[in-house]
Amino acid sequence: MPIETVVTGLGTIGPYGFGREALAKALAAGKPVASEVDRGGGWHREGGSRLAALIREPDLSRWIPPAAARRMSFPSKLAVAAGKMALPDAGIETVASEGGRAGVYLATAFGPVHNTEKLLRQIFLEGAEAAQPFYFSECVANTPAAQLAIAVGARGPNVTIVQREAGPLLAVGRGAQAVREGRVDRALAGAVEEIPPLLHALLGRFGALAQAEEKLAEQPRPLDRRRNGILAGEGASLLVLEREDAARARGARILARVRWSGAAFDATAGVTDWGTGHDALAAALRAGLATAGGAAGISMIVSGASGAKRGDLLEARVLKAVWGEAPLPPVMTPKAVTGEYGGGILAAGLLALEGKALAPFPEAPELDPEIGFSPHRGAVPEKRARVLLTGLASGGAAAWLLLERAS
Amino acid sequence: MPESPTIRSKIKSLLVSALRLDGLAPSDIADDSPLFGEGLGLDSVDALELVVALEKEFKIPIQSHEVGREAFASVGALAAFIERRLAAAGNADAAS
Repeated sequence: MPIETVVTGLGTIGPYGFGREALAKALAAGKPVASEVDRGGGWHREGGSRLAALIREPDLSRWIPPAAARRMSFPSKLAVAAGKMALPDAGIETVASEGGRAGVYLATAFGPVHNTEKLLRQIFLEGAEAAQPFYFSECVANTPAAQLAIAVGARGPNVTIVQREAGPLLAVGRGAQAVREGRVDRALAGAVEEIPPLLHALLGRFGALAQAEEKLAEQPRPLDRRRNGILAGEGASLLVLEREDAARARGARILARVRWSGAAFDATAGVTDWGTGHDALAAALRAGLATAGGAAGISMIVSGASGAKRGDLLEARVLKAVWGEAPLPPVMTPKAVTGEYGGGILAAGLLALEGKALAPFPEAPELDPEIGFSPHRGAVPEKRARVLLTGLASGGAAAWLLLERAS
Repeated sequence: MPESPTIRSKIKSLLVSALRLDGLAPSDIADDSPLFGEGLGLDSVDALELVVALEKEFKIPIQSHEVGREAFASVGALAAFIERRLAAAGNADAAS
């Protein structure tokens, strides 16, 4: 009998608050959890995006003692807090089973960029000798994963995945694979992100962010005709992954089984944009799903569509190519609420499987003829045995995750 | 020569701000409390942070072999070390 990987715990922190209930409430409301970005640095373009899904004044002391927190960047703190939140949710005190190995698989698109900014500012303005060691040690992309491993005693593989919007799904896919292949007994897998003002300004200058237009408020509108960019969002979501037989043996509550995970690359993509290679991506998705019962068994799609003009179009074309003449299952777009980055989609996918509502955004969607369908609104369909999560990244990376109910 | 209370006060403020000792006020740090191990519980990474902060604050170079010896034993010892270095550099004004 093949080894299966299951999800037994979830920790999530975002602009919506701490934990699954806070996220569920925000998703049900369907309103972007956005607030004003500090534009005092002078980096922002006039008339550009003003909002981001930011975590305001987070008190993480219940998960991180002050002596440890002072050595951590904000993303490290978020990752450690979400990881430590996930463990009791899984009914375990430590990620390492007795004598076993535990891995950490964590995605981040930009890493601890605020520390990098501070470090470079010191070097440029005061000289290299004035650079604080703390900013150096906590400015590289893999420090949140390392801090998380230290905090929870995960002594196995420690992997950081930097693949933008595809990262969270790739991280869970890698973690699930490691569990399935017996390389680790348990894994913490997910994503973390921070959005400091400078990064927000840079994303705005790249034209990535949603912005207000005449008679149109600034907000992300995934798969909608009026979409004009993403809502940048920060947060952390961590999943506890373990072998299904081991989880059942200890009487764990099983949130989902990782039925399949897959990845592909769109070679037509530019460095900072989505490509047009929907046929190749669809072929990869179709082939992967064929090993897991096919597309017909999928009852919901939790889409990575975020409001990006070309990204959403590529997403729609891939899905339509895979389903062909068959009707698409309901497509949900949680990034309209959580924003892009930070792994909120992972938590939303699990909640969708549980039956929690995921409204796309508060106003009525307008159909984009090129896309040909609108996001599902309101309650999750009764039939939800399998949920497909999708993540197509600017720059070409693509990832999918097929979760199924296992109880 | 007893070291300046101003230097001790500056060092305590630096310890709190540069090392992000949240929840600790400069006045909570005793002059003779050990900086490393027991006492404040600082470690080698903190020592690096502290050297950078002291060099910036007092505008004196500190060599790596000077760290972790008697000069860095406590706030009082560190203040005496700083004062000696400032006097040697003819830069006592920086302490005021």
